[in-house]
Amino acid sequence: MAAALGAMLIALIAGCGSDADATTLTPTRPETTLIGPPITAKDPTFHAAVYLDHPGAEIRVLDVDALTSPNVSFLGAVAVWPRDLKGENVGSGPKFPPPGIRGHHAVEEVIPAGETAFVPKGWDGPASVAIAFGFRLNGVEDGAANGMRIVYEVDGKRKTELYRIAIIACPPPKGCRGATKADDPEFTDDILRRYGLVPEQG
Amino acid sequence: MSISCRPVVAAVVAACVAVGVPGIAAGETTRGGALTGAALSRFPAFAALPDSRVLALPVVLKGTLTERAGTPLGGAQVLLSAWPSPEALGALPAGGQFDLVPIARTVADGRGRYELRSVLTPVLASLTGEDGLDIQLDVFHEDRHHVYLAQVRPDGQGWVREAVGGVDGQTASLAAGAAGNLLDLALDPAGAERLNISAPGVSTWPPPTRAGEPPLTERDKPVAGGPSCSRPTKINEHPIPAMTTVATAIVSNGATVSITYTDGAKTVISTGGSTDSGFSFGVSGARERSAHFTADFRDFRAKSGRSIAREFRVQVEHDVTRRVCVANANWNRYSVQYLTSPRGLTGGGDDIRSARPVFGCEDKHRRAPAVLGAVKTERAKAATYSAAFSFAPVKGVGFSGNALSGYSKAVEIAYAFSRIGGAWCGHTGMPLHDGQRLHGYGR
Repeated sequence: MAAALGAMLIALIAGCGSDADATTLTPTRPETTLIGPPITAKDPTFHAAVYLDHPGAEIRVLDVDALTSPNVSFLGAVAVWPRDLKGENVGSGPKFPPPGIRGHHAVEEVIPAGETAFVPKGWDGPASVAIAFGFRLNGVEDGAANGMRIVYEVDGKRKTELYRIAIIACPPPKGCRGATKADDPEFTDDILRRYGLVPEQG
Repeated sequence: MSISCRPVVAAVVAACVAVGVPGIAAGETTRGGALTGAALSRFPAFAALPDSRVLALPVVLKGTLTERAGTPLGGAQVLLSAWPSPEALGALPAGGQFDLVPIARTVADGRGRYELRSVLTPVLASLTGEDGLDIQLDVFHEDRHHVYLAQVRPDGQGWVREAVGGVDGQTASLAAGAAGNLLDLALDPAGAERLNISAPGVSTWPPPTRAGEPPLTERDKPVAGGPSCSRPTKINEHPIPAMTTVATAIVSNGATVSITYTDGAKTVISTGGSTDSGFSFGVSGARERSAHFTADFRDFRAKSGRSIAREFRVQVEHDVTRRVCVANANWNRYSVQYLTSPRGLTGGGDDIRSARPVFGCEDKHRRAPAVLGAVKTERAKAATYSAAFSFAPVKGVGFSGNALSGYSKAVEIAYAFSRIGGAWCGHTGMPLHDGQRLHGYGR
């Protein structure tokens, strides 16, 4: 008993194992799920945007990555500067690059401080820089992306952001609507689990 | 239930010393700050514990103690004890007493910083419920005795505490990332018991209590030579229910909102405390409870051009405890302290029109277009709802507390857009930001 007590205390004092790496894309339960961008057979691409909110700072994106099912291609990302907005934020939906904007930039292009401080017309302050991730659904099965990562520098200081966002895409013409899909509470979990995009216990 | 804690604690410490286990070397038990003053007289069982500053054990809690104005509580004596599990407390009859089990103690440094350290002993393991170990912090600083209720979870070799600022009466904040052991407290002197109140002459025993409580008996009376606080007593005969807001949503213009609150959903609920003999109650901490039911909430679809704002509620049951403490050095004045603690979520589910401020999505900084069929939140820190519930811990006196249900698979808000092309927004930021109340609308 004494030995067991001692071993327990020694183990405790030796410290815990290291925490999981918080900057690595791994299958994790999503915080937000986006369902059913209305893609078409002619253009089965879609996008999901995240936001870098550093007004007045210079931003340089070093790397983007996403976790997808085998039937979803990750097409990379584009940067939508505040000046590129046509009044509305970039969100999520069909097509890539995202429609409804004046233009976009290669994600690795340095975003000057003057651009991140830009106030678009109709806004009451600087807009965020949107990084729109692009995907394409291949084939006739439902597919998914779950998790996006951006490595970037803000005024030279490196940051890594993980976004626990999943996006489920379904082939046209029916899309994701219906009792066996979006109306089924287990639909998104089934898709993510089928492709190993969430932990088994998740 | 009665747990005799001093022999257990002393035995663990002695065993560690006897086997020469690193962390508690022979002779070190007397280093660090000794327990003194009201902390010693009220909780003498803690004297057997070494000051955590001399221990190399897992940190249970650490942080900084200040007054609300920011003045550090340098030199504060900090005592950490364990409650029985909510199930065990619930099983006690009205008038049943229990012991607080000492876990750790320390003295805050000049900047108010403290660390409380302990291993997971078999006793603490036996008190740990499914949501963790319910704990109590007693902080003694100058002439004040503060009480704060919280909760930690054993996690492998250490301890974990989820940061839930705002629900516990502290400044609202959401800790980014994983849970830790950090607990910074800004304590209000007005909410603490004032010690050493002088009173002339005659004993005031028994002190007045509220109608409907079990009467005070001799076993509630602190006796000179023993602890100057009685054992805590549960005073409610039946659990006290309170409908509690667990989610809110605004939906507009053809969109539909669905709220999911299923088995395993977790809600953090304020605990209450009274240091003025039950004349008023304030928030004194928070504890998390898990649901073992699925709430049957209705979906809401807003007509074109219209908005609906609803609050979704489940029933939470509470227990109330009381203890009598000697309030002065002359042992002739007594104070009655009350504490409330959630027992559990017990089912039911309703929705009411939300009385909270309605917000639109005009601000582009808070709005994200969603050219999708549906969007839903799953695992993110949700909003803290102030005044999420209220009940009367003692007759004629109300207590209003806060609640937070972190969105998860078990707690989910989903918007469906009947026409492709909708948007959603948060009340202070983008919908994907932490702590947002949500509004979804169709286009």
